[in-house]
Amino acid sequence: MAPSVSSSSVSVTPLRARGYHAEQMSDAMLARAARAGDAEAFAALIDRHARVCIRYATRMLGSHQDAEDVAQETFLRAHRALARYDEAMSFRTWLMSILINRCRTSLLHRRRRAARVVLDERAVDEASVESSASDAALRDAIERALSRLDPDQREAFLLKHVESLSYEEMSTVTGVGISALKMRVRRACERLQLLLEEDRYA
Amino acid sequence: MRDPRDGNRELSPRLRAAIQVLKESSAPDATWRAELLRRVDGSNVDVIQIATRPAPRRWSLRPSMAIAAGLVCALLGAGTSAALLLSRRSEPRVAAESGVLPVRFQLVAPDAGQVSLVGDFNRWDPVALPLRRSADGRTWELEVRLRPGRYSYSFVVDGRLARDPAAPQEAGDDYGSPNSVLLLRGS
Repeated sequence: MAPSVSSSSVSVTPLRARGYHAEQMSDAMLARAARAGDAEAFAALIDRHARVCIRYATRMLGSHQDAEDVAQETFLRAHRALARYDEAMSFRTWLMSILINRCRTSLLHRRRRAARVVLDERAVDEASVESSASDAALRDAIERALSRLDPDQREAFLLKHVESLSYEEMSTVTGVGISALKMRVRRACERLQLLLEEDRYA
Repeated sequence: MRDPRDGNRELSPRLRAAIQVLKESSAPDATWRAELLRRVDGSNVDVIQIATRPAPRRWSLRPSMAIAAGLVCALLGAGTSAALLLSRRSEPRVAAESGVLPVRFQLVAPDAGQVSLVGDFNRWDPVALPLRRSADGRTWELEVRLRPGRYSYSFVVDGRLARDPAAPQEAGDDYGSPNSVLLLRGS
């Protein structure tokens, strides 16, 4: 009854065995190797992009724990969907589009909980060497201000000003038109500036 | 002409400073990475299973579990020397299942603090497949799903490689490291 198994087993020569080092390979090469079943290549892609994914999700969701969960989901989905990855798009852009969707879904699921944007505690620790009281105040202030933004605006603002995507890339990853994105970024910036000023004199 | 930075210069100094704060990032911790790699390994297997069998069942509950059981009673002293009392509990059996075969690894190591499984199936990554201490507090267990094939593997007991004494075969070609070999045949 059981179908033959041997036909489905995949033989992969890992990159390392072929004399490659992941650091020297482009994302596209790693993605191709990962698609062929090379787990090491996928691990290299994780190592390359995890920081950014966790940063974005942390700022977007306001919870480092939720961000780590969402980032894991993102990589898992990417891994399952590798066969459908179109190399016309950069791997980073493709990954961001998955990440953005996971973040949106996560926000929908937790709507009842008050969204609170927290900063990555470890990043704060690392940066604390040069930090001063005013830096700490600024951290608190931007945290509060971000959490008060509409999620659409927060998303557009983070992609533009923190992740430094172009409007074309933003449109690809969000599925939103460029002019609408520009409007969101502008409104987000205006609101954040206002909130930051209010906070300063509160 | 539009500023290529899309108006960053229009931002107030305070918002620009805040953006720098938001750009701080830190590397994910090792447990996050290990957990993700473990889940990626699992999802790999799932894809193959879905391709060969339309209705996968929860493998952890299946009674016809294939068992490749190695029992190592490890009396570990000071983390350096290990006296191994070895006994075989059961013959390795292969489940009459298609595709991926559930395999249970067991190790009796009451004094061990950490046990993991390394092998060809996980790139010998010492953190990817930790064994869990069972209820009796003496036995460490892990169930993994493997495709038919020949695998060199070993346990890592508190950082030291420990051969599985109940393994079907010993590795003859692995440069003298204490590896075992598991041969899984497809049904």
